Amino acid sequence: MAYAELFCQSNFSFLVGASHPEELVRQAYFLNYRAIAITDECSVAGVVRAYTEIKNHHLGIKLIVGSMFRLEDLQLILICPSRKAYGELCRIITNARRRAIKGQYQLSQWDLLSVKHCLVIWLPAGSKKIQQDNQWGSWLLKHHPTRLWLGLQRHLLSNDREYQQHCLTLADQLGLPITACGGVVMHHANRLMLHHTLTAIREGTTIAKAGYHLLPNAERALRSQAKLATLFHPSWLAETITIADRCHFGLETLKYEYPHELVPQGQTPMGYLRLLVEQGVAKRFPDGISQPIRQTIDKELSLIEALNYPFFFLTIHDIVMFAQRQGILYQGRGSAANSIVCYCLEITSVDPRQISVLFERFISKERNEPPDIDVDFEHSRREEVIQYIYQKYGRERAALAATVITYRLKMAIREVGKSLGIHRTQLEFFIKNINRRDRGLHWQTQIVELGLEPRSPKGKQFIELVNEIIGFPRHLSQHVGGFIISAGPLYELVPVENASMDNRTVIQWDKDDLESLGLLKVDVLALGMLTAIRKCFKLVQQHHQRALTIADITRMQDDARVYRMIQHADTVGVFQIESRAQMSMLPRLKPANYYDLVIQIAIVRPGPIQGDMVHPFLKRRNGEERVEYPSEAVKEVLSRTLGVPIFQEQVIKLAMVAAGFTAGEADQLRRAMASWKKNGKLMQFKAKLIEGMQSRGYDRPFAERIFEQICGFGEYGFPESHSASFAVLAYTSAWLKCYYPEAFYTALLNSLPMGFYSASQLIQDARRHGVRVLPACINNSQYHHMMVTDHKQLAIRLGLRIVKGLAEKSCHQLLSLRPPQGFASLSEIKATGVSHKMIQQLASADAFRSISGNRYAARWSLMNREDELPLFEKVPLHSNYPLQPSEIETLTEDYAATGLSLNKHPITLLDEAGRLGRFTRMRELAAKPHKSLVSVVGVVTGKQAPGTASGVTFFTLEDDTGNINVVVWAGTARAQKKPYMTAKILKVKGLLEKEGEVIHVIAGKLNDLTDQLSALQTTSRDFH
Amino acid sequence: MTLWLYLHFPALQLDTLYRTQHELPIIIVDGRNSDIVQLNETAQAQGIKKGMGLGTAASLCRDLCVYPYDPEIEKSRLLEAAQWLYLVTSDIAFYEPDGLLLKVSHMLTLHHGLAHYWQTLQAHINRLQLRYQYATGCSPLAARLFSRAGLNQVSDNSDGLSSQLKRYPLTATDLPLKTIEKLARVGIHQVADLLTTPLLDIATRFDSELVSYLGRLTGDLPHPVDFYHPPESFKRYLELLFDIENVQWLQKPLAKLLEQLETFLKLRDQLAHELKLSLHQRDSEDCIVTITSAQGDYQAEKWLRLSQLTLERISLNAPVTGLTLETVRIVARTADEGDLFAGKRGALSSAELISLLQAKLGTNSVTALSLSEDYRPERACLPCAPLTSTTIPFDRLRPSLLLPHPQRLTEKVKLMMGPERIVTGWWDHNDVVRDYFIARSEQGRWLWVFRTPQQQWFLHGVFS
Repeated sequence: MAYAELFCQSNFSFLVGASHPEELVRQAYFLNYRAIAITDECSVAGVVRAYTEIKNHHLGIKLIVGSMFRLEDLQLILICPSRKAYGELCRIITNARRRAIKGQYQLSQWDLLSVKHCLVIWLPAGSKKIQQDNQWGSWLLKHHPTRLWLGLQRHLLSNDREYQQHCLTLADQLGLPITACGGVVMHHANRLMLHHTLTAIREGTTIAKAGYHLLPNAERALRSQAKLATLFHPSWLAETITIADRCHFGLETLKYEYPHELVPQGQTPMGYLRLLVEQGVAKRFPDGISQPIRQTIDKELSLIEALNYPFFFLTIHDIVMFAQRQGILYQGRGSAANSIVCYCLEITSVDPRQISVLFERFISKERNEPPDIDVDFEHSRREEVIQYIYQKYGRERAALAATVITYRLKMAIREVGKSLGIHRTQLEFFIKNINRRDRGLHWQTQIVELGLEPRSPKGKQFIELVNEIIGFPRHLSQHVGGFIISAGPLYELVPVENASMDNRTVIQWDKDDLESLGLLKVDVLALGMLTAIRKCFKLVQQHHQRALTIADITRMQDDARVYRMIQHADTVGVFQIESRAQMSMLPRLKPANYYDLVIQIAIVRPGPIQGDMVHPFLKRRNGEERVEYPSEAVKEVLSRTLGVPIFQEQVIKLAMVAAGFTAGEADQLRRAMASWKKNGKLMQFKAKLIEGMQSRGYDRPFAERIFEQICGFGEYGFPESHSASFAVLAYTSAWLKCYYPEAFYTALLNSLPMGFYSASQLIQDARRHGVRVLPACINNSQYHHMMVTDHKQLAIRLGLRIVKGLAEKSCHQLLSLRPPQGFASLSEIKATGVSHKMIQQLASADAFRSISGNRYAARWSLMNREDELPLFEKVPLHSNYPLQPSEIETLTEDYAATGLSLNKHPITLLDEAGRLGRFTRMRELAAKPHKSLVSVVGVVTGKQAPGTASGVTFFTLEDDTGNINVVVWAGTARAQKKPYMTAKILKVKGLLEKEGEVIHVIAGKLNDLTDQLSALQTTSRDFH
Repeated sequence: MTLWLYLHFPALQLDTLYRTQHELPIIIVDGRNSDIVQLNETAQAQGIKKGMGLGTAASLCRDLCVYPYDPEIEKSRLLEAAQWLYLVTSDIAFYEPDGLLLKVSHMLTLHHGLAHYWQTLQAHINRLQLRYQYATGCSPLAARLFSRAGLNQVSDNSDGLSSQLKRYPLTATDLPLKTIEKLARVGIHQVADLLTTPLLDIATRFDSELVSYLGRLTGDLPHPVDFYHPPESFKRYLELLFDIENVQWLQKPLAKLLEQLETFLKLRDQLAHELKLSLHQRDSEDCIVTITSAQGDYQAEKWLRLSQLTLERISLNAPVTGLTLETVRIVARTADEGDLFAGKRGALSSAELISLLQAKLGTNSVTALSLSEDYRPERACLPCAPLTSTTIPFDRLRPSLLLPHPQRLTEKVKLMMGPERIVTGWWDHNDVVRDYFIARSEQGRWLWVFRTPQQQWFLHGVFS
C-alpha cells in the first residue's frame, strides 16, 4: 500500500494549521508517505519551507504544490502537476487576493473556469447541502471532466457514515473517481491542544467558550498508513498515488529572469555590463588605472559571468542612475557592493585604492549564495525610487518581498493566556515584567517568579502552549525594501497580494524563501544620514562655494584632524559612532584610519560584546596581549582583526575552517543567525560547532565563546561588508562636522527624525562647538533651519519646523504672505487668514517676540476675537499685559512648544535658585582624580539596559555643560527603585571612574530632584 | 450666605472592597489608560503614586494586587452613604462618583451651631468606615474645591473662605483641562489671577462657561442643586398582639401586611418580584424569609399563597413577636395580555407555575435544560435558569436517555455504527477520549456505548 496526502494545511493557513510545513514533511516522511501536498488556503507561502526541509535533509518524499479554496459552499483543492499549472495557480491566488483587502481573498467562478492545467479535488459540503453539492458537482464536471476527483475525508465525526454515503452517491451519480484525503491541519495528534488554542484566538474567545468551533478530535493529523487502510477503500488510497504520479512540478524548476529591457538591442547582458564598467573606469579613474586594479576588475567580471549575475548588477545600476539623475543621494552596501565593479558602476563610493577590496572574500563559486547588494537612499526620497521601479517595470513585474510576522514571546503570552481564560490585567502584568534581555533567567522562570503556578495544570498548559506557538507565522507584512523584479509577469512565479499600505503589493514569500530558491531581490532601503549629507553638501556649496561628493571626501584620504575629533568621542551626530556605547569605546580604540572605523562600527555590537571579544581586541591593539592563532587556517580568517573574530563573515568562515561545516551548513548557520530569536533554530548547531572545533584541536572555552558570539550576532549581526559601507558615511559625516559645523548641524536638524539625538541635544552640542544658534522668529525664519550670516559670522537660524504640530503646507503659505520688511503686528498676521491653531502654536514657540513681546502678551491679544469683527477693525491690539512668564515658565514652554530651549538650562536655573546643593558639572569632571567621590546632577536624557552588560543600566544625565554617563548596578537600582524608575532630574553621588578620556560615574546614592522643578515653578510666581 | 459642606471620598472602591487587606499592596486601575486611581498605604509605601501608569507601578512592586476600577461600585456605595447621612441631615446632593454635597445653613438651628452639627455629622460619617476629606464653602463649587484639595476644615467665616479660595491653583478647580491649559498659556495659574482679571476681558476671550463657573464658585451667581430623595419602597412593621409559636397562625397578621402592600403597589401601578419577611423572635435572632414571584404580583391573595408555601418549610426556634415586610424588588406593571387566543391553557401561566414550584422546592431546585456547545455528551446540555431560551443548532444523533454516569458495559452487543471519536476537554481537566458506537443488544435495544483508549467499554445511553 502507498499513500500520498493531497490535502494538508500548514501554519501558513494562519490560525488554522497547527504545524510548521517543515514538521509536516518530516512527519509524512516518517510515516512513509509517498508524497505530500502543502495546500494552504489561497496561499503557497509555506511551500518553500517544506521544499527547503526536504532538500536540506534529503528526505525521500515528493512535495506537491497546491492550494485550498472556498467559494460559497464550494470547497476544493487545486494541485499543480506541471510548471504551467503552477503559473495558473499563482495567477488564481493573485487574482483572488488582489480583489480582497489584506489577509483575505475573494475567489470568483471565473477563476475556476480559467483552470486549464491544475488538478481539481472537490470536497463536498455534506448531505445537509445536498442541493448545492449536486449543483457544484455537475458544474465542476462540466468544465473539468478529465481533471476532477472527489476528495473523501474521514474524521470520525458524528456524521461520518452519513457523509461517506453522501460522497459515494455523488461520485456514483456524477461518475467521479474518489480519492482519499486527510484534511490535515497538524503533523501529529499531540498538536490538538495547540489547534484548539489557535481556534480560540481566531474566534476571539476562550477555548472553554469556543464550543463547536473546536475540533472534536485529533483525526486531522497525519495518520499512519495502517490506520488509513482501515478507514479508506484501497482503491481510494491508490487514487492518491495516481494523482501524485501525475505531478511533475518541483520548485527547483522555478527560474527567475531579469527584465530584458535593461540591455540595449543587439548586446549581451555581459557585454553591456563590461561596457558600463569601462565607462565607469574612465570616470572614476581619470588618470588611468594600475595593473592590480585592472586585474581585480577582470577577475570580478569573470566571476559575475561565471555565476550569471550580470542582470543583477545591471538592475541596480539602472536604479542608482535614476537616483543620480534626480539628485537623490545613495550608497550601496553588502557583500557584492564592495567591489571595484560596483565602484565603477557608481553603486558605491568607496575608493578601492583606499581599502583593500573585499569583493572576493564574499562571493565565491563554491558558496551557493546570491550576491547581496542593499542600496540605501535618502529617507525622505526613497518613495521616488520605489515609484520609479513600479513605473518602469509595472505592477505586474515588480513587488516587494514579504516578511513573515511570527509569534514572539509577548504576543504568545497575551494570546495564549487570553484563550486559556487568564485575566487580561494578569497577562499585561506578566508581559510588562518579563525582562527578555535577562539572559540568565529564562522567561519561564521569570513568569513563575511573577506568580504563575507552574505545577498547576493550567500553568503547565500555558507554558507548553506559549513555547509551541512561538515562531508560528501570524500574518504576512511587507519587507522594508526588498524588491523582486522579473522579466515576465510575477504572478506566474509567485502569488502577489495586497499589503496594508495603499498601492503596495507583496509576494507571498519572504527573503529567506527567495534565497532558498535562488531568486534575487534588490534592496531599496532608506537612510536618514544620506538625506543629511546631501543637505549638508548643498549648504557647503551655497555658503562656501565648494562642491562636494562622498567620493570626493574619501578620495582625499584619511584626514588626521577628523580622526583626532573621532578619537575624542566628539561624535554627536556622526553616523553610527554617535551612540553612548560607541562614544565610550572611541577613546579606547582610537581609530586612525578607514579600516579602524570599519572595525569600530562592527565591534560595538551585541555580537562581539556578548562573545567577550572586545577586551581581547583592545588589549591586542594596545600591545598588551600577544596576537596568536590556534592554527594557520584560523590565522587566515582572523589576521586582519588581530586574531579576534569581529565580523559575521569571520564567524561563518571559522565554522567552516575550524569546525568543519560544509558550505551548505555554513549557509544554514548564517540564516539561523538572522532569525534565531524568532525560532531558536540556532541551538541545533551548538553541539556540532563545539564538537567540531574540539575535535580539530581548539579548546572548549574558545569554541564556546565563538558560539556565544554567534548567538549575539543574532538579529544585530554585522557583516564586514556592511560595516565597510557604513564607515564611509561615518567618515563623511565626521569630516563635515569637523570642517563645516554650521552646515552639518543645520543639515542634521533639517533631516530629523534620525539618529540618536534630539534637536535639543544637537543644538546644545552645536553651541558647545561655538556655533551660534538664533531662535525661530516669524520675521526672520523660514520653514527649514537655515545657515545665515549674522554680525559677519555664520550662525544657524532655527526654522519654524521646530514648532511642534505645525503643518508644513500652511506654514509655507504664511511665509509666502510675509511682506519683505516683515510683519509689523499680530493683526497683520491674523489678517492673512492662517488658522487660529497655527498662530497659537507660533505664539507658544515665542516666534512673535519681535513684534509683540513675550508669549503671554502675544496670546492674550490673540485671544481677543473682537478685532475679527468688522466694527473693531481699526482698533489696534493693545499689548500692555501685566503677567510675565518666569524663567522657569519660559523654559517649560520652550520645551513644550519646540522640544528645546535656547534660554537657560534647567540645571542652571535650579542651581541659581540654590536647589541642587553641591555638585560637579560635567566639564569639571575631567579635572577630578580617578576613584574620587563626586555628586553630579542632570536631566535624565537616556536610560539603557543593554543585554550585553548584565545587571547594569546606563543613565545619561545632561547638565548645562554636557552629558555625563552614569552606571547603575542592579543592586543599587533595586535598593532605590523609585528614583531609578521615575526620576526626570537626578542627582547621583558616586565614584568617578576614568579610563583615559572615558569618564563614568558609578552610582551610589540616587536622589530624585524632579519635584524641585515644579517647586521652583510655584515659588517663582510669588516674586511678582 | 448659604453654607455648604462637601465630603470627598478619595478611595471609595478600595474602602468598600478591600479595607481589611492591609498586608498586600493594592491598587485600583482605570482600564481606559491604565492609570492608578486608588491605592492603599502598603502600595504607597512602595513608592507608588496616584496617576502613575500600571507599568511603572508593576515594576516598582512585584507582588502588587491590581483591580480594575468600577464606578458602579462607587455609585452604589455613595448612595448607601447618602441614605445613611439622610438620617441626620436633610439636603444631600450627589457628585458622582465620589462626592456628596450637604447644605448646612438650615441645619444649624436644629443642631445649635456649626460645631455641634459637624460633631454629630462626623460621628455619623465615621460609622461608614470610609476615608473622606471635607470642607465647608460659601458655594457648592468652593466647598467641593476645598474638600477635594484636602483642606479638611469646617468654617463659616466668609472672608476667610474667600481669601483662601484665591490661593488655590486652577488645576484644583472643576474647569475643563483645556480651559485650565489655555489660561496657563497667558500666565493665569491661580484663582486669584483669574479674579483680578476684568470679567469683560475674560468674556471676550473665553466661552461663557468660564464666566459662569467663576460666578458660581464665588457664590455671585446662583447654583441650583438637585437634592437626594430617598427612594420609596415598602417597609412596614407589625407588632403582634400576642406571641405566636405556630407558623400557621401567622397567616392573619401577614395577610394584613400584604393588603397594605397591595394598596401601596396599586397606587403606584407596580408589581413586586421579591419580598423580605422578617419574623422577629423573642430573645432570638430574626428569621428572614424571602418570597419571590417570577412574574411579579401585587395581589395580596397571591402573595399569601406563595408565602404559605415558603413558611411551611421553616421552623421557628422562639415565639414571634412582630413582623416586618419589605419589598426587595419592585417594577412598573406592564399590561397583562389575557387574550383568549394567546394559546394559554389552564389557569397558571408557565411563569406562575415556576414561581409556585420555586416557592415549594426552593429557587435553586427548579431549573430548565439548555443546549451547550460542548462535544462531551455529559456537557452537551446543562441546567439553566427557567424560562431562558437558547438557540444552538443541534444535529448530532444522540440517545433520548443519557445515563448520568456511564456504566460498565455488561451485556453482549453488536456494533452497528461508528466510531464517532471525541477527544477534548483538556482545558478544564475533564478530559474525554472516547470512541462512541451505536450498538444493538441481544434483546434488540439500541444502545449508545463507548470505548476508552484502554479498550474498556461503557454504556452511556439508550435510544428510544
